[in-house]
Amino acid sequence: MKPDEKLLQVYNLSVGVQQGDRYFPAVDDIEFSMREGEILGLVGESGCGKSMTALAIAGLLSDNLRVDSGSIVFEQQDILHITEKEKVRLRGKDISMVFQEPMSSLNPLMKIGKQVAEVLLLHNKRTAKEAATDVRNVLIKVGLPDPDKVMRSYPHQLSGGMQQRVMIAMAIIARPKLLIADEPTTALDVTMQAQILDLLTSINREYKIAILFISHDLGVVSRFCHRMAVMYAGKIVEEGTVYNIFNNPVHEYTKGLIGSIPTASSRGKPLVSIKGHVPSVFEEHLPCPFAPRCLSAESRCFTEVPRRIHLNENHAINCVLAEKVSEVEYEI
Amino acid sequence: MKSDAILETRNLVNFYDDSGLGLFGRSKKKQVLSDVSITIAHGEAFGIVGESGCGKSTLSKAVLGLIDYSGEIRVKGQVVSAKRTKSVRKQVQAVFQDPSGALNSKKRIGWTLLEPLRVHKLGTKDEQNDRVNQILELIGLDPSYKSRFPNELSGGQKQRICIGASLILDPELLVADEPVSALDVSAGAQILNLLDELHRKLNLSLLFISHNLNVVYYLCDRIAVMYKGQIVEQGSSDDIYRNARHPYTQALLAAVPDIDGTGGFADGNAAALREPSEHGCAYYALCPNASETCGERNPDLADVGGDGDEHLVRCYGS
Repeated sequence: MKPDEKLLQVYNLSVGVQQGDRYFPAVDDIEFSMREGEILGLVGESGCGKSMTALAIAGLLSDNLRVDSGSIVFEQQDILHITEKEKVRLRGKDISMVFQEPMSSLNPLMKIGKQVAEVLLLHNKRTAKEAATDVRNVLIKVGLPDPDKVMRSYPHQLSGGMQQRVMIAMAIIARPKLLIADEPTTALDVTMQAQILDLLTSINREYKIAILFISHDLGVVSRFCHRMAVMYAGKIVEEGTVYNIFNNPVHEYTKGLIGSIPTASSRGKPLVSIKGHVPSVFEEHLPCPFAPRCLSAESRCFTEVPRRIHLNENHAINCVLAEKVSEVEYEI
Repeated sequence: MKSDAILETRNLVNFYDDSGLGLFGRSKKKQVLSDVSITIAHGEAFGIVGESGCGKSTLSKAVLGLIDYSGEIRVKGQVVSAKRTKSVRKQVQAVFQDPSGALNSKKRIGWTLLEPLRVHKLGTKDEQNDRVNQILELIGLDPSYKSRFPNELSGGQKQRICIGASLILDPELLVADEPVSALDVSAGAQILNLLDELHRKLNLSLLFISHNLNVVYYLCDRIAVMYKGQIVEQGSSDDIYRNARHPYTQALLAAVPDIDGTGGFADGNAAALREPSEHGCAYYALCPNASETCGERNPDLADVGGDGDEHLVRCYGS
């Protein structure tokens, strides 16, 4: 693969909920791409479709969810239209996932050593003995200092932070190219979160594993990711480098979201609050779902479809008034 | 002891029985709160911050009289009994983390808001109705919400109703235990703004509990940091946030990722440095600058002097 070639490209992806003969879009016509070794943050509030996007990429959508249109290209291969057998070959080996609740992702009846080794036995044709050595190494790598004891333990004997380390060990043991991390630190305390972010950073640097990092926490994303995409009600409203978005947010939703977070400097001042609330998936969406809450909305925002405009090569927005707001003065 | 204190706790201690593993394991008493003493002045917003298991919610439950404790709790100078009288309950009200669990899903919002008035037998029907309308206005919802059911409301709106229901008796102290943790960022901001406004407008005292130091700093005048059931540092919000003296507070501050561009990483401070000590400082195992003394005896809270206010630190090194 050439260095400028994309590892993952998502085109016009729409995923929705099928209820009887009715279809409700939850992810609506999004597109983004990831380079090799990049950390992309996908942020938004609950119900914005960020997890569903992740599940679609991993090919793990449950039966009532379906991809309505679009394509997901991973290493030049459209992974939406491959057989289940090919998906199985991909998952765990080239694309792996870490979820929010480590306890519910681990098998409570299987010792850690066996669980982590399973990936290698399935994908890399290792013997049990070879696998055990690899497991020991990867457990040390993820910061579990006594790997032999951990390998003999059952999940419930480990703390939440240790369980999440085991999940990460399992996800990276086959050296995937893409790690999808869906709120991996949300269930953890802040000091544990900091340790897990340290670990993910070192994995990213050392093994050049690209990370698609799904989070609702803008603070975490601002510190950890290279680029980010902000989602609202199934659409990506703004995308760019973390630096550009936090220093020059352009979409009204992004501005509101950043202003809603209490920081050291916001003490004593009212926080920005976006009026209204996020529409449910089952409500009828306007072409621009944010229009009813938007501070700069005009009458055409309620009828026209938002357009995607690149402000520069590292910053794009999706807005009806894109031409108007695209003349931003960059504060540097 | 300040005379205008709305709440004082003296040496609060709480245990729970840890029966250990196995059916016949001998039960051990585990201390959840050890000697927690706080004083909240009238009209003050007091924050408690700490990680899960540090005892912050146990403290709030003790203050509300929902669990057994030893030690003393005074509300407006009067010692309150473990079984709270109606008048004490009227003065100290609570808002919890999950608004969906706190509202009766089978009752309309109007019923929920009226209930405290009915229980405390306050006012005539008309007066009660006026009060409900007044509260709805205060929490920023229009009167039509009275006829709605909780499932018709968003998380943020439900939390507003919970705040409204807790304020309807005009309490002196509101205990808010992680009131924004279950909410989305934008809804959380609305609730924080509302609490801040109520605190200022009604001169309401707040005992605000959160794991998020940024949120506590935003809202509170004074902050106590808890670790393993003890207060390890306490002082004005600025002293805690800008001049933290306890190594645990410093680690906590460094771990909070801030969109201002700081924090978020542990920078290698991960594993325990030494075996925990039974009689020593609670933070002994993880502390980067612990000495031998730290492992032998737990330090007392000592005033290190802050910006005109007391700044208490439980550390030999401070």
